[in-house]
Amino acid sequence: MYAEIGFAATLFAFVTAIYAIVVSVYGERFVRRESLVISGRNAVYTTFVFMTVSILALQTALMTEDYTLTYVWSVSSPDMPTFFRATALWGSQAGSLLFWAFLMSMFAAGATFFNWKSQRRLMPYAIAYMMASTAFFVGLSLFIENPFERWWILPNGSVAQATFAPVGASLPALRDLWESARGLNPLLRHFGMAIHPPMLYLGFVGFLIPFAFAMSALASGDLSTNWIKVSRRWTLVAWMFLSLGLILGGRWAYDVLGWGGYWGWDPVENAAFLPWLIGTAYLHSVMIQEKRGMLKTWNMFLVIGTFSAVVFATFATRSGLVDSVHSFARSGIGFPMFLFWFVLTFISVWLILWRRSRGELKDDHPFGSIFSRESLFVLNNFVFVALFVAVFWGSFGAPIISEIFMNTEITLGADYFLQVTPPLFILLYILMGVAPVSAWGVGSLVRMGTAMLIPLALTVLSLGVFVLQGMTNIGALFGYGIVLLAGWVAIFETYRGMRARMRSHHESPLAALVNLTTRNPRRYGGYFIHVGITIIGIGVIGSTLFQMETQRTLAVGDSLQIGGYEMRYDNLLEGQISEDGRVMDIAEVTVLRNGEEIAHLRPRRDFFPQAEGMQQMTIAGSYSTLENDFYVLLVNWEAINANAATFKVYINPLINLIWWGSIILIVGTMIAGMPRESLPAHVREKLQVVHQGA
Amino acid sequence: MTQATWEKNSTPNAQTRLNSGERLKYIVGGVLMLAAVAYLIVSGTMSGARYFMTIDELLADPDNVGRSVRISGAVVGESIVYDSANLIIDFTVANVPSETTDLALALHQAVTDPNAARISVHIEGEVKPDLLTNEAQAIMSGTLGEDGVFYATELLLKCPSRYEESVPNQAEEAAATGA
Repeated sequence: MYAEIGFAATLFAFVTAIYAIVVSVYGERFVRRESLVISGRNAVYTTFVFMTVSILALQTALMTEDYTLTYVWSVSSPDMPTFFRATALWGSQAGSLLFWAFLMSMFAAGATFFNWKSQRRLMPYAIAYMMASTAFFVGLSLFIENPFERWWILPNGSVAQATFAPVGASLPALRDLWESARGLNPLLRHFGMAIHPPMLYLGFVGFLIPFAFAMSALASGDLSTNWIKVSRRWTLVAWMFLSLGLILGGRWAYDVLGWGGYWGWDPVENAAFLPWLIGTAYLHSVMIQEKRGMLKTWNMFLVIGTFSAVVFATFATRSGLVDSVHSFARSGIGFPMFLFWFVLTFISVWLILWRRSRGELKDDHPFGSIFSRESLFVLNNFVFVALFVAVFWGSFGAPIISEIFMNTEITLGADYFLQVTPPLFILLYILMGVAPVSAWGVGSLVRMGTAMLIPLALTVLSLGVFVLQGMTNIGALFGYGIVLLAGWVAIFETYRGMRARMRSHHESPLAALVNLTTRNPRRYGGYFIHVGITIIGIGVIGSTLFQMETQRTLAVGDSLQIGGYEMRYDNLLEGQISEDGRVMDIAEVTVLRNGEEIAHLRPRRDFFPQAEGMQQMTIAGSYSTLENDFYVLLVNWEAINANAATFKVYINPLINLIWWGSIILIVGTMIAGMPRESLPAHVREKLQVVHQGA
Repeated sequence: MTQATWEKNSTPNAQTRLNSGERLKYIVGGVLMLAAVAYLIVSGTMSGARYFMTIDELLADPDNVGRSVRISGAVVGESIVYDSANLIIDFTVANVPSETTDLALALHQAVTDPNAARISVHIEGEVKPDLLTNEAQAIMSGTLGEDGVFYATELLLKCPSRYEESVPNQAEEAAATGA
């Protein structure tokens, strides 16, 4: 039943999506008939409704354990906990593609609903582009990776996979399906992995909206800042989810993969990082177009580049383009996805060049001095694009080009990325520190220098704290200094705004801060985000440069020493069976510092008797503080003499700042997305001038 | 007070018009930055580049001995020897061709084929990865020693039957017995 409903709904969604494209373009461009355009808009809503039915059908099949569906059979099993049964929706290729298409249809419906009245000129083309992308992904689910296929037994005894019953076929015995159901891959049975894909998809799919509006601006000729204004909040939301998705992926790797790290510069990780780089550049660069009417062509390339990178990322991940521990098996979707990516990139670039050749993307202002705010933003764009090129080259450019032209594949590993990216990241943090104190149009080093005196002093004080704690590494202090300066500048600029309000409006500090933020949420939300990025940066430097590790075999009662800590092996609990059928061997250890017991940890090894291919997992035990993580892996123990066990221990300084910093980043994004308090225009201008002069 | 304004003007502000001296500064600056980034990427590539080859390709060229390379192969499960006290892993990998349509099948064939080329791999300091099992795809960076053993510095593994759909066995048996 679910297979039929789901497949039918997907089919109808595909049809209405195509209809929406055709009717919107035809009605707007060729015959100028309002009724057609309205019909196209309604088709967007209808597509969303059908996709909702489709995804609900699959989800219900999963929750009710309908193993006749091949997909349900391959990602779930009777002994799985309900939570993972629900998240198995994106456990494998077909389901996750359908989920993509559903999210896309939802975002398209939302963007249409909220902007129909205010952006009447842009909407029909925006709908056409949004539905073209949606139709493509729905089509993938319909024709190539169909999650509604079922197992059948053919008359000749062999087993086949199809949506509808082949001639003479019968359903396999339910008991056989039940017993042989594969279950979710053990690596995915972790809380982080359960939300990392949806966050990432929301981020990826979210960038479709600014892309569609940009393309619509190019197609319709409305090249004012309308398309930017209408897509601004979508961009922020998409960026937030993409950032969250990347950080969660790192957190999952840290918790479950057991190598003490969180980012491996793996091609699939990098593929998801690429849209983030361009997307962040775009987020910053649009400010210039809104304030000064400049960088119009840059912004077009950046927003289209972001979505193009998104499609490339999902293509690279799902097609087996490069070797990665993440990759899905090679499937038939590789070539269609490549084609889709190529066509959309080609059309968008062509449209940009066409409009530019007609002089419609000219800047309103020429550039000011080299230290003006707009120049610094251009430099910012440049660094992000350089990072993009460097990361793309390392994971994709070098291997692909060398394979085509040199007949042998050259690969670049983590050492390449760790050599090439740090200078660029440092440059970004420097810009983060300098740009907020710059001014539009004019650049005065003296003025900027004076504005930075107090943040510099605060930075030196903070570094003093590090030195007092025993830090003598000059390189690390330099890195910390650059990162801290960016954070202090953001905090100090906020303080200056607060102080100005307190003087002119006689407000209390808290009221001043609140009013300041609500009058200009993008600026102060942005500063808050910068503080989050600063904290993350400190965590990254600390955990990368100063990680300590050791491994020892201990008998029960023995201890090992590392970095001022002592760890004592207390006990081994063998063969503990958990509710989802996994068998756990748990070691109990105690962590001491200066003779005092500070933590009891339980690193363990899990065994999955039913799973295919991978049957064991190492789960670390860790004691987390702001100062560091004390991270323990149970490596092995002697089965015959259960008195001795081998442990690998990492101390990761400051690593928890990464996770806490990301929470600040999320809060900052929500602040930045707040609607500005509506004031009459002349009052708003006065306030902005006051802010600037303070 | 600064002279810059917040409103968008349609006429350029006199102070912000670029003169040719400043434009030259921009161009020179831009070229220098491009050169710096290009240098960064190229030097990173030169020092980090490794050939990625199959075991057949590795063994075919005697110049590969001592060269830092990346290879892929299928893990032979029964060959895995793990010294957990000292974190030393030794195992054998069998040759997998570079282009395959069905990776899981190719891995299986590599391990079961007695004629497939094999080499021993030795890696130290790593906790044995959970994915190191029979027929897993291993991607290793390291150097082939004079003794014919591949000394790996980095080991990445892919699960063999991940995302592959294979027929449920009991269903097949049931069908065969005519149930």
